[in-house]
Amino acid sequence: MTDMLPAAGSCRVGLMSQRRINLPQQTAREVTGYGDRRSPPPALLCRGSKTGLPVWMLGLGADRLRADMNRLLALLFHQGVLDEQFLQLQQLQDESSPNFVSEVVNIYFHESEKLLRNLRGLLMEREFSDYKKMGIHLNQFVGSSSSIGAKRVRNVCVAFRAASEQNNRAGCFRALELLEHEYCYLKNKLHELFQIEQQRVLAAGIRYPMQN
Amino acid sequence: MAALHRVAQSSISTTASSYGSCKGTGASSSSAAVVTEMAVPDQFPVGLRVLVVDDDTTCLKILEQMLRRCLYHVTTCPQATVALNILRERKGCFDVVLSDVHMPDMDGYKLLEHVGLEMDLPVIMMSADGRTSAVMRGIRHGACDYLIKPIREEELKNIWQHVVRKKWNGNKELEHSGSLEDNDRHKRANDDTEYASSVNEGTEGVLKGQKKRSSSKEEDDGELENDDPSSSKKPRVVWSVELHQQFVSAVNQLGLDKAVPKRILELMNVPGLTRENVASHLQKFRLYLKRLSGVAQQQSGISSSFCGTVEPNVKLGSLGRFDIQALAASGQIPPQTLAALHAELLGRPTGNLVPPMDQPALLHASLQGPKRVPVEHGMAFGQPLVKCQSNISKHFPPSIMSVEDVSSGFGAWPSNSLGTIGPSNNLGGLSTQNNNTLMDILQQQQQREQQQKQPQIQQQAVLPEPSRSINVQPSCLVVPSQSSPNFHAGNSPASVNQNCSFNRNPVIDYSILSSQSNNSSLNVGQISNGDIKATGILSGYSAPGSCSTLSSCSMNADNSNARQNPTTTFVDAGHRPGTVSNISNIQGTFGAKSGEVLDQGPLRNLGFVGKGTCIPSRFAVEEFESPMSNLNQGKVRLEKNGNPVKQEPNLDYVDNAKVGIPILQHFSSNDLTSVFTE
Repeated sequence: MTDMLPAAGSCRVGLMSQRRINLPQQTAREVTGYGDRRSPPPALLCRGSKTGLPVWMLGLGADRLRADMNRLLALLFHQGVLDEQFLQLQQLQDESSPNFVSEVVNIYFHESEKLLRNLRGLLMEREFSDYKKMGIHLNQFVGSSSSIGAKRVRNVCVAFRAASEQNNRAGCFRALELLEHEYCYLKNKLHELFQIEQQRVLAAGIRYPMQN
Repeated sequence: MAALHRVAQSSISTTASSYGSCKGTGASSSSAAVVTEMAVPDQFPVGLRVLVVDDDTTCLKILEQMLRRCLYHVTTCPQATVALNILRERKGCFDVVLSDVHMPDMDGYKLLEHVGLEMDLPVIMMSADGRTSAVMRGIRHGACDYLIKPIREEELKNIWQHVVRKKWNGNKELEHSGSLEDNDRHKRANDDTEYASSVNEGTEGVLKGQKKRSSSKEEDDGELENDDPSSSKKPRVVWSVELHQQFVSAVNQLGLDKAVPKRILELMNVPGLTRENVASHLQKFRLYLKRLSGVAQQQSGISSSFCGTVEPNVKLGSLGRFDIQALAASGQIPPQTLAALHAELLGRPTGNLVPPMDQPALLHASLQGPKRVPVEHGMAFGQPLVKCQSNISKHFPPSIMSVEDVSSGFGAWPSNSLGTIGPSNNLGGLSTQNNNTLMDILQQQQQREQQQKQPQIQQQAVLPEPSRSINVQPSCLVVPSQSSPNFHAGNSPASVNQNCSFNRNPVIDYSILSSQSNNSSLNVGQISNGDIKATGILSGYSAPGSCSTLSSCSMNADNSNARQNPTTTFVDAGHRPGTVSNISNIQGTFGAKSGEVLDQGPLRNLGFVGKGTCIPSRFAVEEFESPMSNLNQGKVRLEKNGNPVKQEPNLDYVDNAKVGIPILQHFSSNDLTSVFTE
């Protein structure tokens, strides 16, 4: 058993480079991460401690990474940053669109930053802001935020919209500040989440030949 | 929900087949794909072709994925205008449209209107804005559903039901239009309420109750979208742009009032198109016109007045139904007319709500005449009418009641129409135009009344009569309904909607006349005649395109007039007052006139009896030719009558005819002054 290890190790390294290339196809099922029980991570833990490679490279950290993800998600849910709509989003991810969640969220970030810029511009413009236009922007912001399950951003947007409907300039400013803050928080946390997920995918993608 | 599914499943095969066939007729290009889908009805929802329109790419992407998960065939589009082009280019390639409400290039409501009118697809609106006003607006524009973001997959799994429901409703509609006589009152009532609700948007709050009631009767699922009028009434044929244009040109050729599905079908001469298809499309077309105009009105803030009108609405609604049913039973009324009637009936109440403030503007000085005065006249006269008409004698009390109601209603009504607020009805016409038209109409009515002494009220009474036979209460309401058409006409001249209302009236009258005249009852015949004349003139006035229809109407009117004139001197007098009351603005003056008329009444009547036949005939012919001729005749008649005051109105009338709407003010002033002076 121990004799085989060096050979197995070298073999593993060679394998890994190949595996990485194939990652997207191979691990498509597992990208969903949290809540996805269809592809449990392979049980490789018993051998990982002897290779000297980073844990995730050996695929040994997949479970741990999954746990990290779940913890982070739980935190975000607990804080009200996300809601169950985000889970719906995750469940929409499948073989046909392995990176669906991150794709959508990145689109969302892109759009949101545009909206935030526009909103700030509208508010800064002059003494009299175009509240109607603001309302339209905010409507879209509410729609997209709620669609990805960004609950707190959405709530702030709703408050913002209410303030804009009342032509409450001060309220709009406060709401915008809050919105930017919430948005940044959400963005950071989701990035963190995706990073963990990426690592987890890599880790989960490693398989030993003998197990195949 | 499970039950619903089962029902839907059971019907899937039928819907599928109808699907294919209608698609084939409407758009041959897409029929192949449809047929293949139909070949596997067991998997019906699978492959449902959905077009998603949303400027928010995040939502678009999520929706796309969700719909894909539902095994639907998804097409996404970030721009409404592009989506509309896609829909136009690939007619029949989509089963349902999901559209966002707020889009920069084109409002989702606008898209909805286009889709509803041109391709007859179920449209589901979605927005993060879940406020009642926004949802209401979507429903009003014909959305079959309104989803509030975030949209869940479960909601999308169900959207196929709108496709099925549409097919079903299409079938139902076919049945109805095909044989209105079938005594399925229940169904008809439902339809009626739906129409009404769709038509008068101002009173939607009130209508809701009815809607819900009807829907609960009709089907167990109480979803509001189910009874959404516009969506439920659409035929299965895909109305391509060309087809629709053909349809519109046919309608224009016929004139909106005379545009009967059968004739439209003949004119269109499209193979595969059925009368029912045309009938339902015509309905939709009219509703659409109303809707368009109604939106503008709503924006003017009439909607706020709903609450006040609740009572009237209720009455009208129920009564209206009865009336319509009665009419349908007595004569064959096309569904469009029914819808129009409903709209008018329902529309009035809102009008009542509006304060009579507007009257002054219209009447100028003559506004002072109290509304109640006209009512009284109506009362007195109403009785004579009843007496004269043996048939109606039974309904005597009700008729009186109706007169009162009408007068009261009218007081408010004219004011409404005159006022800038505009009628709560769909009439989108400008307020000024409305006023003008009203004036014209009024003048016309006056002329007619004076000349022929056949009151408009009688005309109005035509509709009520059928209802009377059925229900006593309806008669009261019925009178208003008739009057309302006139008002509408006045209001609507500027817009097509008005034409619709007119058309409907004439149509109704026509049918009644035909049946009644043949059968016997002088009363009915007279009334009908009156209506026909009035409507005919009006229609000719407002819409030159509809000459042919007008002519036919007038012909009938003439016949009936000849017979009726002798019999109904009293009636005429009575009607005049009634009309006066209707015209509320002129009421003061008319009240005096009516008195005069009454005095002179017998004389005139006598004269009319002799001349009556001739005059009507002239009327009819002239109307065909042009409103001007009518006016001239009217003058002549007036002269014969010997009423100087009346002559003036006639003159004015002529002017109006020439100018069209704008001259109304002159008219009104002249008439009023003359009347007052007298």
